[in-house]
Amino acid sequence: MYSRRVSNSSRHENVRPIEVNVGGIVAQEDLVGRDGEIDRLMSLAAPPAHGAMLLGDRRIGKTSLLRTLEQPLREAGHLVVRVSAETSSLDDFARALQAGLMVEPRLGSWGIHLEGEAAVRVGIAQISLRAKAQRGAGSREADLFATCARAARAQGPHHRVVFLLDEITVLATELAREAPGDARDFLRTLRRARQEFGEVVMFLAGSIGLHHALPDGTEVNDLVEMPIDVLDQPEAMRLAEGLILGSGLTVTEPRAVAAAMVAHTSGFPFYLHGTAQLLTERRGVVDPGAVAQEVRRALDLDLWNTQHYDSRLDDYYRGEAELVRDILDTIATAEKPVSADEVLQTSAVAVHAPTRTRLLTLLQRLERDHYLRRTAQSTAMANGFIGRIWRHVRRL
Amino acid sequence: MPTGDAMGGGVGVGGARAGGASTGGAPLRPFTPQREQAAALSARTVGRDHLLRVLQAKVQSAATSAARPHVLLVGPPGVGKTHVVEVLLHRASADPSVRDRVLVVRAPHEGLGVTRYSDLLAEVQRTLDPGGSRGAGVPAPGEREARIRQLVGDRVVLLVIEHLDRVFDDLGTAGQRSLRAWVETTGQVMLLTTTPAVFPGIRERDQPWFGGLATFVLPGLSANEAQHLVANLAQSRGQRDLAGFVLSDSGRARIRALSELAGGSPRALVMLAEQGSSTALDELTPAVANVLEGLVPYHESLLWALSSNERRLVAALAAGTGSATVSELATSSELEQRTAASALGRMAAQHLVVSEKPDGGDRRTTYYRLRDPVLRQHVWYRTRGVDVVGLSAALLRAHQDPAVRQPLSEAAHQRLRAGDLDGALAAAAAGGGPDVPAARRAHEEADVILAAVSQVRRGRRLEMSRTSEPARRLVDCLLGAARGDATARAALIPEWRRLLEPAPTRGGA
Repeated sequence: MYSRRVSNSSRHENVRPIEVNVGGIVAQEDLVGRDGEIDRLMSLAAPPAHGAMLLGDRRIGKTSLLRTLEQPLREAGHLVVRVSAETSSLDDFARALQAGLMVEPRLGSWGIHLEGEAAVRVGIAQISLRAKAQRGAGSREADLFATCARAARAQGPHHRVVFLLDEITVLATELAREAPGDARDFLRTLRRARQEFGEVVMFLAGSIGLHHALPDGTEVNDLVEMPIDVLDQPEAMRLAEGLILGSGLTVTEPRAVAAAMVAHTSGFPFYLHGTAQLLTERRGVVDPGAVAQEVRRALDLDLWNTQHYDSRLDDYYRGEAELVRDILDTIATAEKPVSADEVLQTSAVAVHAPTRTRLLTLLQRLERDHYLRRTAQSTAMANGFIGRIWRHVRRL
Repeated sequence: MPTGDAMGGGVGVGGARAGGASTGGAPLRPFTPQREQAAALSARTVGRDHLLRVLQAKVQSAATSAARPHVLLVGPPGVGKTHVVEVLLHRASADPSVRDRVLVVRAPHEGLGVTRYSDLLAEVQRTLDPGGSRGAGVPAPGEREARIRQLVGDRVVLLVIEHLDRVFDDLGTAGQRSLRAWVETTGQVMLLTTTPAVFPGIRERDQPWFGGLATFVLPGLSANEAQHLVANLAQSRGQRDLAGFVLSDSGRARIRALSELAGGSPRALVMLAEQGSSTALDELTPAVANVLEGLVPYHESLLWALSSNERRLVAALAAGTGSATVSELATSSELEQRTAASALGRMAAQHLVVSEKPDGGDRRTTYYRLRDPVLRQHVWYRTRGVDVVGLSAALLRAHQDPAVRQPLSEAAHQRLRAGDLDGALAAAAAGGGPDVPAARRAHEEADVILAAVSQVRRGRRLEMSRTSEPARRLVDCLLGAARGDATARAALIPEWRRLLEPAPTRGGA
């Protein structure tokens, strides 16, 4: 089990200051919670798993999680290649991949295998290493994953090479925009590597659902889907209390202010940091009322571009965007989770006359777009903060 | 010593230079503070201590941990963004753990030579390895990234990018993504950036850098801070006369008035200290004229870069009552409404104008105003000369200085009768006179009027619902006179007289 859990537990008693860091790279020691996710991902790095697809809203903490995963993976003897695939083309991705490969010292020898300086080439159908020979003429080319798998085997029988490919959905969406089949073929290339080489594991992450780029998702169906959600209450409290300490805020009652921060953001780490920063810009003592004011101000002034939750629906759902808005209005204003039939019967939704099957499809898509959460036969907004954002944006 | 522009080293990359804190006779550089001695900038800094402490902690955490808390400073031109960057780098360099671990790289000001992602990498590589070999051909971005990685080792690059909005415009979405991928993948880079206003590239959720930078808005200086800044500058430059006056009650009142005219702009205050004297400051109008004169090249180049339609709209915004709707501006600038709307959209993107919804009432209406109050003054100065600038300066001088407002009575009437506009305005603002109740009313009205004019000066829409009819008429006249309307100007003195008349003959409040 990952050792960070021990240090986190001790923080329950002694809150450690955490620096407010809105959107930047968070130091590993400042990442609060996520022990359960890390344990689960560690188990998915071992045979027979091939890895996982991390799903979660933008700024929920997927990138920080992948970054934090590096250390326990290396401690377990695995080779790690972490790459941001937030790129617009395969050439840009090749460059990022090469930079990621260079960070893993035990893969530094891949140039030696090829007897020269190597460069990564990424094509729709193959990802390869191309090297110009140091001695003699000509150049050689080798499959990247075969080379990496060999390097992992050289470390020992249970060692694997783990690719952490962040924001892969941005690249897939860009490829799909150019040619619809390219995204599918590229992701199949990655899948082939996972299937061909038992040493190759991939953790993919993306905030845009792959369903926007791929019709059925068979290219990644060998990966376990792992939702990344808001922090649970104790973890969110620990983060909020740490931020209060780290930001030097003068507060009336630290636990009450931290509780207000958690309540007003539903434990969404990015918004907890964002709220802490807004509070640092205030003068005077901060009380729970000040937290409410700052969050309301951020929503009123759209400081976090929460309006986007509404405006992007036209692009995501096109001709059905208005129906989707009415569905979300219904669920966001319901006092408790509602069933599909209850949604279907509301006058706002009924006027669009969707079939029950169509409604279920839309509810599933809204879950994948991080608006909704399904519990048993009922559906609710993904979390309290998303519900509040929706009601605010829609003036409900 | 690290490679490149190590913190505190100030090695030839156009940064503020290390050196003693005394400004002495060295020229102040209100437009290029990075050319001044960093210690002198640090010594005269006022009103930014809290921000600098927060930013220093971020740089320190980048130096001592894997955290990379990227920063964006937001504020209009002249508010002191570059100054804060320079002082931050100077102060942070005092910490050995930062000095030894952080390599400062500055993208060129105005984005010169940086229009693509590869240009940015080239700039980083050039700074870190100024004597690096120049091989044949242009290295591919991947090669540059690899070389930078070697040069940086286990240290951190603090990449300073000013005018991030324009640099991001040039980089395009693909370039912004490449920058993000590089920063995220290597974990070796912290961004320290500035922009005049928040822009779509960081505000909108589908952009690569959405939420990726902690944003700090720099407000203008308060009147107290402005007073301290000018006093510090005057003292460090040996201008004892000016320093003494600034610290007096009258000096404080003049600085308050000037600060209000300039929207708390430290640049304008630095120019005041550079060019001002206690006499000019006391009179205020000469001081304002000096500052505006010094800013003429800056404002002219800014205005000439606009299209003719955009310039018409600037003129309309400067001449009006502060903020206006598209429809009002289209009428006053004699443009088609669609043309005006499109030009205003472009001007908002360039941070020349601000669009606002009223706090109460109909939220569907959008009002536009000039972002920079000094630009408004510039337009007045260039189109109407010192006369109109003097009018506003006189009003504010009277408004901010109880000593000028106290006893006036006959003096005000005499000046009004003599047609001494500036003197009459100043005197009338103080109210008073033999008829105490009338004087008190006049005094209260003057407060309302001056507050209203002050609102206009700051580009706000007038709120006159609680003002008496004579006061409203007077404000109309003042604004008309400011626009150069001869009829309004001629009506000014009669309207002042009417306002000062005994209560029974005045309109209802």
